[in-house]
Amino acid sequence: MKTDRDKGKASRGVATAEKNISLTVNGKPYELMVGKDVNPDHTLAYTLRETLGYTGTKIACDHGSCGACTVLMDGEAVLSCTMLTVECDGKKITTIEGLENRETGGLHPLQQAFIDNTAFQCGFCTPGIIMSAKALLDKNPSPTEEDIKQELAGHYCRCVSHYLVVKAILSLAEKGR
Amino acid sequence: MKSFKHVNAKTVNEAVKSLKEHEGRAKLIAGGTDLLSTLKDKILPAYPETVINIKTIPNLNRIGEDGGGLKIGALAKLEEIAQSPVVKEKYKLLAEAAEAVATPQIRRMGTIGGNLCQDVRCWYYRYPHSVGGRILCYLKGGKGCYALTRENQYHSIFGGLRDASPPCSSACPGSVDIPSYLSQIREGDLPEAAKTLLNANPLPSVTGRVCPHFCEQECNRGDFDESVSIRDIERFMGDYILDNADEIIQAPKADTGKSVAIIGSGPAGLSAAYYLRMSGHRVTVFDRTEEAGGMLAYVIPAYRLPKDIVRRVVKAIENTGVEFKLKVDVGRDVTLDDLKRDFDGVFIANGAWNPVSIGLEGEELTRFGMEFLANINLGVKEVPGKKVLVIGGGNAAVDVAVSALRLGAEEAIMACLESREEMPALPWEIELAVEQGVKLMTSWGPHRVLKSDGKVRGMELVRCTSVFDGQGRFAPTFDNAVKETVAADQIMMAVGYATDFSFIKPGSSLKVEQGLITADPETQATGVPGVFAGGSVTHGPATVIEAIASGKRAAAAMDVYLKGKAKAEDKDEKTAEPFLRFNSDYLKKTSRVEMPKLPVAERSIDVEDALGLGLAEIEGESNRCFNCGCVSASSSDMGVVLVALGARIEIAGPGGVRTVPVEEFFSSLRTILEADEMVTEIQIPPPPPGAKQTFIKFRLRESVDFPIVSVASVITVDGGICRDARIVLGAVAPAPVRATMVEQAITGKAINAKTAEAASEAAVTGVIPLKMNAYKVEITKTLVKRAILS
Repeated sequence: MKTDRDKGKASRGVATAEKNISLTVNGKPYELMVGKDVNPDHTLAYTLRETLGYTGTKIACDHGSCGACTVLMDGEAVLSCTMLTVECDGKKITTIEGLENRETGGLHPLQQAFIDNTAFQCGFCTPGIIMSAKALLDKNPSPTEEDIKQELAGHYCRCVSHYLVVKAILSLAEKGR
Repeated sequence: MKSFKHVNAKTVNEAVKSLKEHEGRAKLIAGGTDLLSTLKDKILPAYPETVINIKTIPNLNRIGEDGGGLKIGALAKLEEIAQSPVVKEKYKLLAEAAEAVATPQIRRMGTIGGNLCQDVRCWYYRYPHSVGGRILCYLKGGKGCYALTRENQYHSIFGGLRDASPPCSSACPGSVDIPSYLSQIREGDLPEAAKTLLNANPLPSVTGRVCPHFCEQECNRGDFDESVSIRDIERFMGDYILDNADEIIQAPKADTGKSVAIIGSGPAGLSAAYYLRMSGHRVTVFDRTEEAGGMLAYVIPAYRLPKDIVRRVVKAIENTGVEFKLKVDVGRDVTLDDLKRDFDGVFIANGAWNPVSIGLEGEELTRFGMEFLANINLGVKEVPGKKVLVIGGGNAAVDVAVSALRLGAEEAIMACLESREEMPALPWEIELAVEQGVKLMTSWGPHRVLKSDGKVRGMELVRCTSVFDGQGRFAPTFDNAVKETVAADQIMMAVGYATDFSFIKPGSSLKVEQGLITADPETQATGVPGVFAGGSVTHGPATVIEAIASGKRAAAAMDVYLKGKAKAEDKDEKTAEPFLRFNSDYLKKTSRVEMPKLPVAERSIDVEDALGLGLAEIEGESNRCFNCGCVSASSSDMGVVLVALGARIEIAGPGGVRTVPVEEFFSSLRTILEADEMVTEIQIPPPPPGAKQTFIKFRLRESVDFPIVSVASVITVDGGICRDARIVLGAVAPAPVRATMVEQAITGKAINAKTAEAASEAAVTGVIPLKMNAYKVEITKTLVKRAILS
């Protein structure tokens, strides 16, 4: 499989090519050969960023504590830095890149709401927060402020954008009502 | 992360089998939220070769009630537990604790089994730079705990926990449980301390004087300020035991009717005699000498080990019913075959008493140093010569040289092959020699004895250029061009001793190789059934404690042999206080106390140099023991509430399934799980109907963080009176702490502010705050109050 990134990185380690991992990322299917494209010690965040080039997913703490690496797996917000790619066989992943309108290339309403509410400064934590917000709104189109705070309790922003994040998501929640 | 192999287990059996095959080199992965962090931070003692995925095992995530209460599969996610209607309705505490773990994403990934099995999360792992970037603590195969004496704001306030031998005990050939007996001394329980000591060493009054105390070299306190004076404490305890021998060393109640002959009454023989007698066997010790004690009685100088001490030790052992047959030479007066015929077992420990010849020109004119020392102990106290040259660099050579000076020699010179750093004598023995005025000639090899008129005039020495070869084997090389002549009228050889095996008849099935009897290092068993051997005859001349340890090993194996079955393993007695206590006042720098010694001018051949310490001094010194363990704070929220709910944990292993109470599960660091076991189910009995369940978790931030302190309580109140209570504290010790004192303080009482106040005080009974975490004591009290009044 061809990747945008350095393939050499994927070939280190002891694993032997014995099976393939099928992943669908933002609707696009991938077949990853274990031992070649992916090693057992690769996290999903690593694979997305380094092997498949989806660098919109961020790695900050790399310990599951900050939420920056959040992606959707079968619709659920999960920490991609804290799961092994070899354990994601058959999963459907959505990253921040998958939110754009495929026909128009336009931003997702959530992304637009973050811009409208200036809900970020440096933006490093934003993709993860938006993915959690997406999962929340998919399940509950009109969450309360408390629902939003609860759901985003695993996201940390050094620029203290939290207040505006809640406001941005609430602006969409109002529409959902 | 470093690379690892990854396998998917389809069944519990498959997972357990794979764990077993990997012998500790595999780790299970469920939610992964704990494991992957520990792998990234490399904080496990050993990096796993293989990671076994158990998420692929079906039906291990069910949550449901049956007649016996709630059953939760180990793979149930925390979020599923928090949202489960049955849990929320009847086991509210559990739902609240699950909801309080970390963050929503982690709760959706993390499992209850993983939460219970999470690695110890010492908050220190966050500051590895402060300890040089790499953590090598007690938990990680190192020997100490950084938190005891450094940053410790997030650590235990109830003491530590350890699941392996501390460094002092590990360093001791006799594996004496040093921290335990020091704890017992701190608690003022000298009889208990004596018992602990005697469990591993029946001769503490001897070792307290002559043992090199490898334990002190490994003592963690030594890296902090100065090691604990274990030797001096041991000497005090040894003398205390002798002073109270009638009460402390009693004859056994049992009599197995089996008899054992022990050849040799030195430390190995005495040790085996003591332990065999304690197991109820009839023991007879044979020795060719007039007095029992072997080297202790005849070779070690009285100024180091008073002979009265040796006699009292022998007497105490004799009083337990051990028979001593002295002046009986095995091989001459009685044969080994006689003993094999007349006794059910034989232990050979006749030591090494023969001179070793090094093939020196004029060697016949030299004197064997050990014979010189033995003569002194037999009362021959003559001046050995004006100028005495001692050949050898070991402790025996020091004893010979120092004794020569004390008997009136004008000069004593020790010449040895080794350099000062390589000398086999212990550093403090060399100090003693130098203090006494012994001249050291290091890196010199004996070349030939100078003589005239059949008398010794001195020795010609040649430069020794190296003692050991590349493999560390003894292979001295010399430069014969560099010579030195030393004038002397007496030359004493202290270059080693050999065993006398003349009692072993030719053709005997006892195997002797390179001057040593071949014996199993674990059991001291020789190839001949019922015949065991230990001490210098099996491992060559070594320390007293090594001889004692081999005697003890032999006694244990002989006991099994004589009884025809393995002794049932002693179950560790559970003490009321499960955590390791220490005196936190002594976590600051202090100096060690050491025995005073007689001034050099007053030292003599037969009065002990070192003056012992008193009770107050050794009590003070025992306070300096860190009682080394790990003082991390357990962070499992589920563990705390499950103890409060009286849950049990089902564990699968290669031998089948067992269930243990949660408290027991946490009774060891990193839980009691063996390397080839996994948690499969959590079983929770229904809480008393109407009981009030409360979980309070105090942390710095309301999400992500581990608890600073948490409290879980199940309280049954009837008519305003507390009828029953289970209260558990989290994050205040290396494991959840059942606060039985609090339970007692409120049961039967009206629930009000006064009761809560008293209970909160009870919660912190026996607390040992560290330098920076006394604030946790206050938080604990407040949370307990709130839980009771909620």
